[in-house]
Amino acid sequence: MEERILIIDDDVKLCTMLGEYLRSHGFRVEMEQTAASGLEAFRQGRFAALVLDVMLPDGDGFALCRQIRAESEIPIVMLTARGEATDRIVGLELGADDYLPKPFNPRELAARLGAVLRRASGRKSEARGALLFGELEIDPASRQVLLGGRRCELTGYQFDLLWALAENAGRVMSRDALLLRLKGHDMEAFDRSIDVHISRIRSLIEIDPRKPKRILTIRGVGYLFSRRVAG
Amino acid sequence: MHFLYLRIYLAFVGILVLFGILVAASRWLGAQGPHSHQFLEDAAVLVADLLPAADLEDGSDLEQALARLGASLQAYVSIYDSKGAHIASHGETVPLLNANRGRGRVRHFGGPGPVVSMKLPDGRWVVARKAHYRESWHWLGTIALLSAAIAVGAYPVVRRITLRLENLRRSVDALGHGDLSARIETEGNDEVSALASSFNQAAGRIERLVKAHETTLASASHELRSPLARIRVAIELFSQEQRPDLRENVVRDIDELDDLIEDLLLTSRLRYLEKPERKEDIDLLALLAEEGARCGAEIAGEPIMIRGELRTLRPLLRNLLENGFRHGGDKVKAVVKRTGANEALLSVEDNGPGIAEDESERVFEPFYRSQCADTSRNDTGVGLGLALVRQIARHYGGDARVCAPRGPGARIEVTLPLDGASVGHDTGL
Repeated sequence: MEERILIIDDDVKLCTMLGEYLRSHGFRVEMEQTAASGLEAFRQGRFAALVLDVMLPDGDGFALCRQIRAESEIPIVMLTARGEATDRIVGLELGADDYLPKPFNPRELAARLGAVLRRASGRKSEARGALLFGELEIDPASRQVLLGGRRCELTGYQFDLLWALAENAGRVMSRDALLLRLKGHDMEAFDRSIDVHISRIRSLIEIDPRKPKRILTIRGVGYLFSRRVAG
Repeated sequence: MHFLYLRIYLAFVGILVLFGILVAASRWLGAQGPHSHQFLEDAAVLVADLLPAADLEDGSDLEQALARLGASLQAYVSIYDSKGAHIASHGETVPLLNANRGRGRVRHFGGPGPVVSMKLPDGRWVVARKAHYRESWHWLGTIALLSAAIAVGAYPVVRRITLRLENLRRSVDALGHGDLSARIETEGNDEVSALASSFNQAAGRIERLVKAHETTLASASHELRSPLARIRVAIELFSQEQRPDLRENVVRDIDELDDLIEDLLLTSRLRYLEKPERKEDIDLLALLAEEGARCGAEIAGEPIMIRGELRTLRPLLRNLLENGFRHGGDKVKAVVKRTGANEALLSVEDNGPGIAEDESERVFEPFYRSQCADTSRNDTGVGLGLALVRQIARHYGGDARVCAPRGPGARIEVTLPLDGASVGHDTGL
């Protein structure tokens, strides 16, 4: 099943390369350079998702986003090179589903596109959203962890542990706090076992498990799930 | 914090108090001195008529007359002969003091009340004092009351003046703490409102400058991140398939980034350099040809030597030529020639869609994207473009402007004064 993606960005070279990259990841990609031609293409073709740049030569992407959102529920991922916090808030308030600041790792764009497409297909049934960190996607509904689109095999206990950390990303979690959140699982009593599970999770989601970038050990305190992901 | 209004107010109240003291003092001093009253002289004649003559030594008549006089005046009255010996009294004896000896003297203080003494025409003295005298302090009370009323009335006036100063201070503080929209309501026509409107103007300028700066920064970040985004994607593609064109793209993107950073540094450096450093002789035609070859523009003109700096003149020419390609042209023609006014005139024409009249000034804003320009972007980003061209030209004492094109596209002219330059290429040969 190839999903059709429309990229609206005035940077021809970037579009061409992105198109190439996304095609190699199983998307069908079309490109437009202006807001006007983008809107027209969107109305004509049946696209599964939009990738929309904030700055377009004939008007800004926010206005286009608002207009498209008024017509359709199509998932929209916005791109921006301005990288201001207000851009981000405005983009999401206008109905964009996700937001990616330039420069970005195209793998992350592919992961986010996959996530918004999955979310859109199950939009009515799911209430709780998946968490995305770079190309890592943690979906509590299907209890699945995807890294760059590939599934990571975690046990139920490991998934809950990862979820507890990721949900509190940016906050140091003590072993006690983690154990409290994992109370339902009574087979693990000895708190050292958390360390064992963490190293197992790391081996699946870290590029180099010996130098973890996602789950960080804070000596004497506990663990921290990092919000900042090196692409 | 509120010392000023207190000081003004206290000064005002101090003046009032001083005024009161002076009035009281002048009253006191004036009352102390001897007062000769014509009225007392006349009264002495009348009193002499009422009293029996001095030669009639009938004590009872004199006493009766004194009693009548005293009763009708409600006063103690004593009578002395011309030598000062006491003759008779009604009520308490009023002493004939040495100081009182003299016609018509009124003495207010130093006793139970003012004493009136008068010398009768026959030489006798009549001395009288009010039986139930109470010193009147009403006048002092009136002054105090008036002063208090003025003081109370002055308070809001003084407070109002300093309140306006406090408002001013609050706004200055707010501006200082980063609230660039802080303004003051100006009322009236005085010094304080003049200060307020000066503040408003300054704040307005600061706000505009900072806004422009923020916009430029946001645009600059966009321009810097766009090539970075391309490089990021190219690297990912390159790891899948090692194609030479991807490599070339990355190199070109890095060059673009480098140029842009160079331009940004230059524009901020020019902002505080007052005069161009004219340290080398540069052949404008040669420089133009070099830059033209880099981006594929057609070059013509005469050799012109200008004293200047390569690192400012080269970005000027590069941005001027690239602008033609950026805004939709695929053919850019540049001519350099000398004008009569000892200036070099650079004229660049392209065959793009041209510049609309209402855009002819806006194209000189940093990172401005022409609405008329061909929508598909060419190889490079927008960049500082004509803003930097104009900034450098003005730095040299010249200017850049949009001119009416001879063909379908846009024409931009840049003038550069040649002062300090050697006369021309041919003289050196």
